[in-house]
Amino acid sequence: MEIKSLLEDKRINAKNALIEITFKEYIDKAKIILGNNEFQRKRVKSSSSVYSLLKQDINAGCIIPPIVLAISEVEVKNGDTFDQIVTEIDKHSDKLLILDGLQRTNSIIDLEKELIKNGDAEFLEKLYSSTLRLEIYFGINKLGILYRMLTLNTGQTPMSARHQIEILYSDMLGKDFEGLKLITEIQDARPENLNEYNFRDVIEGFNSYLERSEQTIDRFDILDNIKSLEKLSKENQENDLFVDFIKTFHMFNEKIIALSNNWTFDESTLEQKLNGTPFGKSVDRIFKKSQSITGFGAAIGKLFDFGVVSSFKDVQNAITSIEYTNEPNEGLNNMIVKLDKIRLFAKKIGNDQRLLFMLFFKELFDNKGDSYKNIDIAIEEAFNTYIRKTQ
Amino acid sequence: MALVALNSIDEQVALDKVEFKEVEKEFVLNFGEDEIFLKYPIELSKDHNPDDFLLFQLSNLSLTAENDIFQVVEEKLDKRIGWVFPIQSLMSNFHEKSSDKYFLNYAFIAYNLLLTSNQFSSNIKPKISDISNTCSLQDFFPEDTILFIVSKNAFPQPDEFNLKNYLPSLCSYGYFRYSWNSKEISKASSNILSYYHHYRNSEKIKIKSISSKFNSNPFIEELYESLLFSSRHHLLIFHYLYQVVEYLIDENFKLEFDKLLIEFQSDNISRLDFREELSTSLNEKKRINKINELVKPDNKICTELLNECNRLLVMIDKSKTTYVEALYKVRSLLVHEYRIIASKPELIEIVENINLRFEHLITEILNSDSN
Repeated sequence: MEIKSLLEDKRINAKNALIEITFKEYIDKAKIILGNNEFQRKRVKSSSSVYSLLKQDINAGCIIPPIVLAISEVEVKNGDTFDQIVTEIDKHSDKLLILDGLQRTNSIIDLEKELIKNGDAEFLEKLYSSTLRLEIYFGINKLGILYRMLTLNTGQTPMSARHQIEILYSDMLGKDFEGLKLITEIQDARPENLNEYNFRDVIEGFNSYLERSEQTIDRFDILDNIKSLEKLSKENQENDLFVDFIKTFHMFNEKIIALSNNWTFDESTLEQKLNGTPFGKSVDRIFKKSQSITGFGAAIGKLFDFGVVSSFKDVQNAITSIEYTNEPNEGLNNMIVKLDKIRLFAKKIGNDQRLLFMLFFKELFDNKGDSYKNIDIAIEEAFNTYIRKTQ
Repeated sequence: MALVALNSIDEQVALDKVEFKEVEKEFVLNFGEDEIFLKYPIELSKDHNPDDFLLFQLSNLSLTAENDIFQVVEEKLDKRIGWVFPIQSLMSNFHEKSSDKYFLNYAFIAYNLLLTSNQFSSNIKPKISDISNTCSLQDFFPEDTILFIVSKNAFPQPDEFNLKNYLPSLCSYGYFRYSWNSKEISKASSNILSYYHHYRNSEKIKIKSISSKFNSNPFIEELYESLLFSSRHHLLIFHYLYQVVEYLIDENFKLEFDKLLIEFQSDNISRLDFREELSTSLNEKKRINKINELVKPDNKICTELLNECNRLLVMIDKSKTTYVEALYKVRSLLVHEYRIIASKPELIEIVENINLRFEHLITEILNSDSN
């Protein structure tokens, strides 16, 4: 591996190195990257016609467009030599993320497999010794990197913004950050502790914040990607918005648990029997579900757009003084009953539950509304709006 | 072939090689050298062989919520023969049956048959380029599709089940064969839509086969295959249903006439008596009252039907009357004086209520073996 040039990307506040590397060295690194990171595994199989085209191209000396990667673990300081930077990359190569070129990488690995299987030693050697170019971004500004990923992907085989966010933040899995922990379903059946969150749910929530929509459709349309870019470009990329997002949500979760007098679901306290199982039997179980986190993300995003809030700090300040008007039991039972009704008549239950939560959080944090910081009224108003929109 | 997609030059491509990968929990659809992956999103439970099942595509006027999942019980066999549910239930873990093993077994079979069965082809033909990254059943089937899956082994003879024979029974729950006209049907009034919601109080629906006396009748077949659902205009519905009454009365008259003729030819009755009996049989009101013999008047549906008919009659200043006469009077009103009702939503609503009960009554009559 050899660095040919090092530049500063001032838009996203990150350093960018142009690198020449042999296919062999890249394949070895790529196998580690894909092996370690479930979110980077291929989703679409290449057709065998692609391998033969790739083989022809390499044989003809065609230049493959640079594959773009990012690495948060390596910080490039002024005065670092290229050799020092290469050593650092090699040391942390399992932390590399592929921003653009996942399909090309998979095709190259599949080509190697095919050549080994066919015993084509001559061509294999030619492949290994050919040169490939990479671009590697160094830096910890993930939102900036996400912005760059979207600009790179527009016009090519699309990867959804959600998938890209998943890749980008996958290095936070299992780690403690600011007292919180993200876990996957593979690691644990369900987050048990208050400070633990399901990784995929948080990613969906953050994506909902960026998209200003609680519906979790994966968007691949180029036009949608451009719209995502426009929204991202307005965001302040100085802070790590993802961390701000999850911290704020956790603050809400902690506050509502503290206010709720250890509420747990008790059917005997309801006026009417539920039609099915309750949405959640504790405050934590209600609000930590993906429907709630995505609803929160979408609501805060919309409030940003309306100019009602200007930062996550505004939301955090509002959280400190949210309250119940009545006994917590009444408000939470009401929420359970409303969610139960939705399950009975919604054409798509998950979507409608997300909508209800989005409306709830919007009511709760809209300082121009009558439900501002009032949990009971926010629940009631959210459901009324939901009925008007859907029935 | 079940599924068809379009390639880059809009040619149809059959996705006819289907494989299920249990570890990845996904279906792989092969076409040529390429593949599309369809995740199986709900809990996997596969205990049965798809060849032992039949799958039908239906619609429903109003039981279209994700949670409208019902066990289907055949009344005569007195056992569950299958399930009926919206296609959305195969794509979500949020409904009440998402961890019901019995539902999940059928769900997997239904998913499988949707992708592989030759019984029906996919309604939507998406572009391969649009679905190559993420594909779901909704890319091939409209979201208002209802699925009815039946176990052949539930019947004494494996090929015994014929959907046609159960359409009247299914109709009383709002189910009918899927057609492209379904979107028009879904514009039915909220009054009609909410009528079926009380079935949500039960986990099961009970269906019965049409009586063998009627299962080859072309009009009755047409009624449930298309007429009742090509349009839900209240006037059309009433007249279609009343045609069944006319048919039954006619059949009854033929029987009575034949009996009378035999009596006359055997010299058991005089010419005068023959003429009088014939005249009585031809009397419209007497013919209508024969309906009483078909279904007991104290039957709950008859009571509701009577109440609605009388409600309409009273609203237009006519007097209340008994069950069969009330139905006949409504029929006369719609034939001769529809102009009174046409522009009055409150009266139209009552006609819709009458139709809903009338449909039930006709179903009971057609399914009864006793007439």
